[in-house]
Amino acid sequence: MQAWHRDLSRSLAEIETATQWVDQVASALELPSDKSYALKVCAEELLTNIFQHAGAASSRIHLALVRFPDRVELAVEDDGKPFDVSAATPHRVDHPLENAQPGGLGIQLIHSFADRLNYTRAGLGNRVVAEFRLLPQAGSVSRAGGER
Amino acid sequence: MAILLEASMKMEVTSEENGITKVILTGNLDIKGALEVDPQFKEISQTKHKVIVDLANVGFLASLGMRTLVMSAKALSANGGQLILLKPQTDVEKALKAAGLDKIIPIAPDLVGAVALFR
Repeated sequence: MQAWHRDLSRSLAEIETATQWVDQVASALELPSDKSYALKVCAEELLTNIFQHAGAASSRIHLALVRFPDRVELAVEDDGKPFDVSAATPHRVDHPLENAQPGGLGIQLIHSFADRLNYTRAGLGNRVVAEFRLLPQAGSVSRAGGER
Repeated sequence: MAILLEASMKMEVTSEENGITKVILTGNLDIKGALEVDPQFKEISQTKHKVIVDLANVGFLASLGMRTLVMSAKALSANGGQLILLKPQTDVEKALKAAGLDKIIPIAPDLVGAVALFR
């Protein structure tokens, strides 16, 4: 298991730096490009959500990326207002275009790109863990597929 | 780990045949990139009619970037115009479809196809 941690404050510049950090950790872990993209989407949207909605009293954010043999987990903690992103209703943009509301698509992207979401009141306050499953690497033999 | 900070977005606007305006975006349309290009998109939406947004060099598209595209498409449509998206990268197209943007903004694989999509 490999774990990477980063603390940041609630500011636009820090969010920009943090998403680039996630991207670079994903590269260092040699994740497949689609998983790397999914991680970055979820990090960006979770942090944007905190930046926009956590409330003025919120100031601290903690990020953790943990690589397991079969998955990667992105944990995002913040000390803002309670918000369970895993229970929030995702919605796609309405059509036709005339009826479309331009905002609110972040929740939809998080639910689409993460394989699993878990929310708890822990750590700094809000703690969301987004899970991204990895396919077995070439050459490895899974228990289910390798035995008869 | 050293973090290399980059500018999020470059935006080039060109005039094509038949009154078409082409917007070429390069970089990441993330929260920072969307804030950078929002004013220019607002101006283009108010002054142009047929707009193609070339996404071939956009490596990342966040929800705030989608908001910029939807707002622009709505403003153009309200004035009888149209916005077409051109050549998104695979992951960007997946994000567009996940959010349902492909249902309200046409996506073309090449310039000829994009031009043909204008009503």
